[in-house]
Amino acid sequence: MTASAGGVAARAAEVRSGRRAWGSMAAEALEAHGAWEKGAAPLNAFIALDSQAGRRRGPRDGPLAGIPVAVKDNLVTAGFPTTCGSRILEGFRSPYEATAVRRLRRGGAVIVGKTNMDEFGMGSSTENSAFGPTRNPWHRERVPGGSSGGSAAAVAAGIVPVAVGSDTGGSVRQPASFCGVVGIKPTYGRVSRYGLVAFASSLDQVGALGRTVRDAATLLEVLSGHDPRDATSVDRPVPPLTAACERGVRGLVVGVPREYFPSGLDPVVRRLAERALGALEGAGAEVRDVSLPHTRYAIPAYYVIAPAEASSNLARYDGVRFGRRCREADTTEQLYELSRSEGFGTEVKRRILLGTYALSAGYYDAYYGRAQEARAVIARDFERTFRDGVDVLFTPTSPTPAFRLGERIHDPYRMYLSDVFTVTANLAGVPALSVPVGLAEGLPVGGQLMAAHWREDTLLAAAALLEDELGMVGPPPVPSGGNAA
Amino acid sequence: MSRPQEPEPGVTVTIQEILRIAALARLRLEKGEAGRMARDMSSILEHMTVLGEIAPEPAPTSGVPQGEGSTRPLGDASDGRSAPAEKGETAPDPLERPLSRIAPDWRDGLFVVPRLPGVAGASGERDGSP
Repeated sequence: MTASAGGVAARAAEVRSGRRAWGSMAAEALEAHGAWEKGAAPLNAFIALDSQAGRRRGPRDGPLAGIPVAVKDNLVTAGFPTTCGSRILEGFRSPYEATAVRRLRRGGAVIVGKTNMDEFGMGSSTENSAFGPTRNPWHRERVPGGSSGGSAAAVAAGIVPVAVGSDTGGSVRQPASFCGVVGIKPTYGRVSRYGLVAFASSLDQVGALGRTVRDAATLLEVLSGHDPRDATSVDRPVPPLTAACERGVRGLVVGVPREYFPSGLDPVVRRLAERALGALEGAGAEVRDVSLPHTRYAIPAYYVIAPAEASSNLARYDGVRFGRRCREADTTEQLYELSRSEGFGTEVKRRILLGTYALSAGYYDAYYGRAQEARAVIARDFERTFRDGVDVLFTPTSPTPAFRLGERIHDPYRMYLSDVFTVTANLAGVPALSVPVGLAEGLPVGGQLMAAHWREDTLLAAAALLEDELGMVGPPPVPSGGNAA
Repeated sequence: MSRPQEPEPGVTVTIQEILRIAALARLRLEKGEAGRMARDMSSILEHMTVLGEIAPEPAPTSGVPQGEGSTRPLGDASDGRSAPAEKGETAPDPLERPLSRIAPDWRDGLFVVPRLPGVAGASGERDGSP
């Protein structure tokens, strides 16, 4: 299907009324996937695909009836392997299914495949995948962003109208920005993490990507809600998110944090962000300059806390319980070391080492303790701003449009700076969304909206207004069989 | 080893230190790989020195808004507005199925797993011994 040819809600209604067969859109998705995989520069958005998805039978009711959905490969899914983009989980099939995936199925969705990602979510380009990089459908020599790059590329290419990702430091929003689609990271606790393979548990959150704001809202509404199986899931009513898209922004106070518009910001990104602010103001919002003064500590704090948690979470991959197992080991210690060393890629090893270092005796207070203090003051910046009457913050999602494949892969800190505007929302636990605001030399640029805890409805109202006023970007041209770079 | 309370400017991680940390993390690094990691870590940690400027304050341990999530008994929302878990949400967990159905191999009420290296009689393959 071409995702722009009608919203998810309208397509699902056609299935519910019997005017459209349940599997027909999944069959079209598989066809579209085939077209993007032809030629010298295949998209490589999927790690696993259900070639029979279009022939299966499923429930004809639900808000996603018959809608083909792609799921990031770090959510355990019945009928599919789950690899997290890593060799260490090669061939792993989970005996249970993530709550988010179960909710998709209950909502009538057709799971067409598992999408490519940076290994265990560690990356900003989807180049750190054991299954090869995903390419950006807008320019196939560019990265799609990461770590949910496969999900974002699949939506941008029109293979699926919506996809599920996860966001630990911007992994839904940054690829959404690079690929010209909408990506939302809900409040920590809004969506169950049961069955999401853990990277950094205090930061991880399942998120929704869609071709349009309304499609992303429909998906998020299905995913949201309390789950007794996840102790961090919060028992709180889910507001009507799709209805919020029609609310408008009259009277809304939009804060513009000056720390997110540094002098070195790409000038086209700045111009498009200012145009978006003009659209919000023109629709009746009050735009106000604000300051989040501790923003400069965000990247250092994030890159201590996330690797520290990762080093603990990834200790379970030892070649014994599941996944890759080295056959050459003579002792148990060797089995652990060799299985992990063969199974993990370079970036994962780097972050495990960084986390182990930050938590080790002698360095804990200097790094991990200080990073937690930085996290506290960053969260307080947000609390104070929202308490002072700001409803929503607007920033660029990323300092630049999509960069070239290979451009940053050998410079880890430069790669980490791709997340400079997105990690704060994870550190504070607040909801955040990326919406396309225009094109810079043919590459999409996203604007980021952040709101107080549980105010996804405000984010969606502002994002829908921007989409209506600025227009959608794309979709990119469908490939004709050759290299579309 | 010194115990710095603040990240040190110009910190340089040595190959020996990387190998020590790798051993703690149960990773084996080749010599060239250890050198690259030491350079990368030194470069990354140099950017962390800014954390030393933060005045100590109580720190949260997660992004869960205060008073919510894990700090509240599950299913006992204090605001009285909570929606019950959706229909089917508390259905039996697939992991609650009989273990014999999800075990890769199962015999006489026990999991059958490959022997660990170094254990007498180990072959490194599944040999049927639990």
